Amino acid sequence: MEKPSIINVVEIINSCIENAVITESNYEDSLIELGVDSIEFIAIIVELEKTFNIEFPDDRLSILELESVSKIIQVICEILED
Amino acid sequence: MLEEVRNGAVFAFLNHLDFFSKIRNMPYSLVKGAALSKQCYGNESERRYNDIDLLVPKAFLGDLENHLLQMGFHSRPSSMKDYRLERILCLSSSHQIIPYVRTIGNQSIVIDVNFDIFWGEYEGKKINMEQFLADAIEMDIYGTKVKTLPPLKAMVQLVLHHYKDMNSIFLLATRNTIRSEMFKDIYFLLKNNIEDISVQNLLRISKEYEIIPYVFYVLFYTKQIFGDSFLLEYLEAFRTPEGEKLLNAYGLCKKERKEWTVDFRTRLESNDLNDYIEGYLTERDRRKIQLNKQIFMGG
Repeated sequence: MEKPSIINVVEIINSCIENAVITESNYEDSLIELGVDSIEFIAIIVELEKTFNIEFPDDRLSILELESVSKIIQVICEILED
Repeated sequence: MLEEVRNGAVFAFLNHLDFFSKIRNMPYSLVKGAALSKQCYGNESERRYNDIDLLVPKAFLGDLENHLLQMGFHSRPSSMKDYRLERILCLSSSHQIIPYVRTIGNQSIVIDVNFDIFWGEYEGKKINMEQFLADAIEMDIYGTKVKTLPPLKAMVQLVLHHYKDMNSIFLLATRNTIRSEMFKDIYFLLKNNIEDISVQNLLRISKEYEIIPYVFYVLFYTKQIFGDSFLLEYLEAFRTPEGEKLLNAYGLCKKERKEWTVDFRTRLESNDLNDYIEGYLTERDRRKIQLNKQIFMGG
């Protein structure tokens, strides 16, 4: 599986949220502060798992853990490397 | 009396399975139910409860679930067909997974598995559950040795639990979760463990966990019901503008928060709290309630 790029993940996330607010310039910002809510977060996880054919471990499944796009990319890379 | 026999039988059965011995090396605590009853009232059966509530860190959920499956428990089916979606929903926006059940004759033993003491929508500083559970104490429940929280942490867990029950739009819309018994537990846990849960100790741990407004909220309403003057010292120590702002609001995060249109007594005496919130729910609130209904209420 190819490593996720910032653009790739940002596109997926923006497709799951009502107000597409994530850009390459704010991908390190907190998802909560950018306005992502719990239902949108679930949609993001479902879409990322489908796209990269992965399962996030139990202890990573939280918006406070996967707090930003950069953190999400880091965790996806860790899962793909395992 | 019947309740006591039933609960005693449940623990005897779990003892027969060696349930608590097998999870002894795991960081866990029995919360609420019999353990809380003993800390509040001095005996296991004073407080009514239907389920066995366990608290474990998220990272240990898989181990606990394996134990439960090996001991003949199974996850209670929900109406969601997509197991993974259900799992993601529970883990990312709740504090518990689908309960595990084992049926013996016409009795069901239900184990509620909690992995957090905050609600799923919580946006503040998280508490590390492994550290929170590190000083669990041993307690004898109906002859079975179990691990539970020390009184100060039991108070922290109970305060956050009650705040959640009093503010969750899903619970307010579907169950009457503002009940006088919940304040009775707070009052007696405090009153009967006053040295462990002194103002100074509770303030110290609340500052560390950044939960002062929630403690104020729950103690404020406990004082409304019990009126005992010893609570005044707590209220003065915990009073903050943020805590006062919460008093007449519901909703577990900023996005959901709304003002009550009825006073606390009316909420407490209501048979259907949904009547007071239904007209104010947004489309998103309704979607969330529906999703939670599918998972936790089977439809």
